[in-house]
Amino acid sequence: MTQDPDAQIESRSDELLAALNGGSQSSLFAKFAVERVIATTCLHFRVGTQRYGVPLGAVHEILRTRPCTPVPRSPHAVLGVISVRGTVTTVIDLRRVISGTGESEEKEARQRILLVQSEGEVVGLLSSEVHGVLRLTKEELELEPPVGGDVGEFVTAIARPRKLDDIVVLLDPVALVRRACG
Amino acid sequence: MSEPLEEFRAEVQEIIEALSRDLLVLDQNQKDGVENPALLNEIFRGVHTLKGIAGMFGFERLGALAHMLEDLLDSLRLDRLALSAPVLDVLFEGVEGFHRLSVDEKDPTVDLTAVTRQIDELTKKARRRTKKLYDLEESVLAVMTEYEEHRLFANASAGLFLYRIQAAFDFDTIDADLQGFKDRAGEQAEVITYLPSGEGSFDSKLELDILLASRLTTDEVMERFDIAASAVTQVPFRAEPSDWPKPLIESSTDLTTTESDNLLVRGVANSVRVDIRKLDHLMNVVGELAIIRATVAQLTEAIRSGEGRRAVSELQRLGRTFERQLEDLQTGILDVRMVPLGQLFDRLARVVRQVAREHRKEVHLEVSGVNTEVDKLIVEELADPLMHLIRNSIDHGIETPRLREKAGKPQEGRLTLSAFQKGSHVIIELRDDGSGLNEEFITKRAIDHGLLTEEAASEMPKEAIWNLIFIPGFSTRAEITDISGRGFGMDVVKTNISRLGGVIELDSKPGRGTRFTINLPVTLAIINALIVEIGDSPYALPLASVQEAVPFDPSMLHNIDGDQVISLRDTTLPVCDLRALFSKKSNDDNTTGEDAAKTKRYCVVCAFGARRLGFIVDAIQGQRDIVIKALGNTLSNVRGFAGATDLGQQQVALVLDASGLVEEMLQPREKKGVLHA
Repeated sequence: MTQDPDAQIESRSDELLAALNGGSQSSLFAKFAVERVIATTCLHFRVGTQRYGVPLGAVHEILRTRPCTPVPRSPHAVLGVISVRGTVTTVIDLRRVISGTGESEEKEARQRILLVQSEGEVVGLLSSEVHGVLRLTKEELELEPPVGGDVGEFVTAIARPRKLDDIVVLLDPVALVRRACG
Repeated sequence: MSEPLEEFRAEVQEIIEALSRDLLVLDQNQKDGVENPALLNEIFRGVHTLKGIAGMFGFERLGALAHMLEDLLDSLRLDRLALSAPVLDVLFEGVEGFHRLSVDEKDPTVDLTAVTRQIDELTKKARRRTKKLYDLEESVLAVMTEYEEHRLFANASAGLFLYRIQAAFDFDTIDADLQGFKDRAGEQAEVITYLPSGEGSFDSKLELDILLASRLTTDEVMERFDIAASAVTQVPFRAEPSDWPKPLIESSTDLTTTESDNLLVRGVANSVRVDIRKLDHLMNVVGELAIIRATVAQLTEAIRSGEGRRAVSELQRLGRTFERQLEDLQTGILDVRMVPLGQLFDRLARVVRQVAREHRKEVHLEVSGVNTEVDKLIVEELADPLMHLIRNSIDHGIETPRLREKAGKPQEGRLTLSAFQKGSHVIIELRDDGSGLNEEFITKRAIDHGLLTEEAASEMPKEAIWNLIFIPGFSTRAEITDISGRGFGMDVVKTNISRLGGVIELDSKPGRGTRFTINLPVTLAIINALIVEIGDSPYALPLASVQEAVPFDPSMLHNIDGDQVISLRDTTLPVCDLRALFSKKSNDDNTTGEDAAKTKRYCVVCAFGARRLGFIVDAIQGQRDIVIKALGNTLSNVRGFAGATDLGQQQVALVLDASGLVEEMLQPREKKGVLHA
């Protein structure tokens, strides 16, 4: 039986999905497939008009937006603080960190706050819209993107998913938070 | 951290604290020339326990250190080695080693070779004592434990008589009978040991030879223990006790002890040991809450089935019960967080001893109010500032014994550390009877550093001059001493204390000494706060520092040399418009809030010690209890806020760091720019 591995993975995508999500159905096959083909799994969202991704493992939770208390004298990128089940959490407005993302119509109902782990603290990142989970193969990734300047500090790769007719900029949340609050 | 490890640390910490406490008493005893065998035993047991648990948790170095100290203590206990200052140094050093190793067993900065060598030398010098002093048979001596032998020696040295008493005991009641025997001996006699006598035993009885040391005569012994003359024999002395060589007095002083700078005074464990009764109480409250929860479900059902009216009054009653239980739960949990300050004071006592030795000064520390309870968090944060204050007092305050004698004071300096509760605050006082602060020297130094102009200095009140030492970069010693004078200054002490919502004040009298007074809130967890509005957002202002709130009108403002002030009942009060301050965003353009000239604003007067400042706010919502939550590390550089609090319904209010803001506003302008140069 000599079947193309990619086709095999395609045909057993349910199993694969379960494996990726840490479900109980994970099988040796799924693990093999993940290691062989999937380079990274990320949460895929939009800020302004640009698509971004952060490693799925870094995301704790996704929240609907809620009133945010501004913190006077804080760095520009800080939108304010919210209370997440009793923990005061800093929220960073991604539009203020990632310059040049272009303006688009912001529908507040679609905005989401991604809670990510950053150096011992959970920080909220405000995005315009969350699209979902994106599994990227090695071929789809450009690992050393030619981005410099401030943004270069926290951009880890550029992805060109086959399914999308667009690029996704992969971010390192820890470096991003450091940049925004440092 | 894993749970058992945390528990281990908590236990080690407790043992170390007890050891430090006992060693300090031992130290004092040694100075006074008093022997205290019970205390030595206590210390020995502590180290022994430590050795045991260290082994269980794989803390090998800690265990090895404990083992060595145990040997040393054993020699002391058995009087093979005399207690002397160098021996005490080794013991203190050992305890410091325990402390550090319990934090990090692999800490490479913990160098045990010096202390190991010292212990080795001391233990080697410990004499093996000859056994015979009373004329006892070899067979009896052979079965005695070393400790029993030691007691025999001690009693012989004291010239007590030794009696051998034969008595028969019932097998069934022997334990109780022996205890009764010991009780009867009381303080008049000491039971050294008991051995089965050679006579053998009859039926259900066991014959014992009891060795008893006492001052009593044979007749008195017979009477006291109600025994026949034939059963008591006095064991004669074999030689005069004075012929026996005294244990060696150890005099070498080449131990390099840990510098006081590196002493560890912070606690190791993050856990709090809790009285089970406190937890039982909490458990009860939680049980009550569960009942309320069930009742709510019933009432919901009742409302659904149309019994609305009855349910409403029932709900009202339930609401009140709920409120009461919740309050109970809150205070109960706060109570659990409280720990006595004594734990910290014990650790600081070690610092006093060490620093005094380094400076060749004689210092006696007096401690009071050890049972005053403070939130665990505050206790830990207090460790460093208090340690620094103590260093300062010994280094700069208390004079050398010679100078003190010249000044007509006792050679031994006195340091008093006391604590007491005053309402919802705890006052901690550190007082020394040293030379006091030098006013001229402080002003001169402040002028030299450009922190003060000469004109300003000439009209400065005394208290203001004292406060100069809290300015960053101020150090009162011309040459930096090895202990007190390096970057970490009094300014850090002040910042640390104000971060806890506390205030530090000082008072000094030349030649008489200096007193530092620290005023702290009992807890940081729940505080009473005034909710005010600035711009459109609510802010919480801790009520403890608020004196009053008065209506404010812009026409009240005066501008004195760039500072805004108002007149309040004939005094001038500096004020700060928080809306203006907060609308200056660090990165944004200056979009001042001048436009929204609200008709009615308020001035909230806050006081910290002698310093007062009015905060101008847009509105006052009222007061309520709040739970302060820390802001994340991402906002650690933002000044002016002590944290945030959840007001419910997804609303978060920032908590103003009133003392920090007062500090910021009242900074003398002369020094601005100089400090950061």
